[in-house]
Amino acid sequence: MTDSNDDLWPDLTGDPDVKSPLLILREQAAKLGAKTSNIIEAEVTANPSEDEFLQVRLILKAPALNGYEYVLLSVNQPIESYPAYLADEYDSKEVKDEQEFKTSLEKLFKSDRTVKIINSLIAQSKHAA
Amino acid sequence: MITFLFWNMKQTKRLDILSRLVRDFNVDVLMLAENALGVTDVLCELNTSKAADFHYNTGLCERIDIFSKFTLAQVTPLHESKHITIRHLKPPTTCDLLLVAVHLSSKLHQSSESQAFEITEIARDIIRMEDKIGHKRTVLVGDLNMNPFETGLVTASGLNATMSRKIAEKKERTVNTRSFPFFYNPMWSLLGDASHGPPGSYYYCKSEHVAYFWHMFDQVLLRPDMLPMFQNNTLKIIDRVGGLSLLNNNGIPDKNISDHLPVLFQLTC
Repeated sequence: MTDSNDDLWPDLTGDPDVKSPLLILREQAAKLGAKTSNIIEAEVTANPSEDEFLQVRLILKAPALNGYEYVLLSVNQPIESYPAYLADEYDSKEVKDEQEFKTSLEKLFKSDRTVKIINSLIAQSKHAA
Repeated sequence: MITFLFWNMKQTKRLDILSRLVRDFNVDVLMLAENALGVTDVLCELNTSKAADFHYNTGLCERIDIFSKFTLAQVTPLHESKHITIRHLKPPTTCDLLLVAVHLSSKLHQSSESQAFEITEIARDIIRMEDKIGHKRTVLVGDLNMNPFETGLVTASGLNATMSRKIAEKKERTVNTRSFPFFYNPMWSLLGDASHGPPGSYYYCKSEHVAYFWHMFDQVLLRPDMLPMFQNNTLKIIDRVGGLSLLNNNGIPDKNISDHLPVLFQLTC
């Protein structure tokens, strides 16, 4: 039996040691803008899905190309942040923790395909200006 | 009148068949998935007349190629990913449209549930792009790797695609206080033997308990605002071009050409 003054909750301070995919992607999105003089910007969207995951996407945007968008990647992030599922070309790859997520992200960002897409958008944006 | 053709070519190098399809059906907008032909080869083949009608409407979606009688400025990419390209089609003499071309992940790589969740993101993207250009004259075409009756196609937060023109004309439906715009899916009318043409656009048979044999993975969906511009009898699954059948002796798609059949339709916009 509890009375109204009882506090049954534990101490809740958040877990500063774990960065979620959403947070990491927001940080990386800001860095891309700085790296390209905002010719290409990145937006991170997050929408709840029906299976209790958060669908997080990183979308490249080219303001000079009438706001053209390219969805670079998507991540299914659970409430506990990890393991998350990073979508690659054909399927979702499970990433078990922050370090593995960052490693996979770096690989994807530095892939020939991603570099080609960003360089193409920069070139077209400069041409359009 | 604009004639559209979508074909998942499954890497076939049969440029002669592609060329014949475009010429025989007087195609204006050609959308290809799994195209292994070079862009210049296709352009040279399609532009043999003096007019050089066809342009390659370049984009960053690696799973779809678009060739059309419109310049890139008239088929502007608005939103793309590996699987989808959303274009603002602005024909010079008629009203503008939103053209969504897709080639979604195969069932070999994603479960039906995952496909359905992916579709909800695509549905949101389409609505955002419609808001951006200020109308809902939208047509979606492509290989969805799902049948018209699967969850991703019919669920409200997915494509919300109904088999009935009359229902689609209601424009939207409300679920738990939220409104979702309809698509009309005319492909339902082409399922099975009683329709004109083959029973589906793709054939797949595996020795397991649940088997549909024929599938309708290649589809055309239209927003209600497009319905006055679309007549169902212009929608066809093509199984023969000139004297050549795209089916084998068993009456299923000839895998030496492609395991998918082309889909043709017209819009009077």
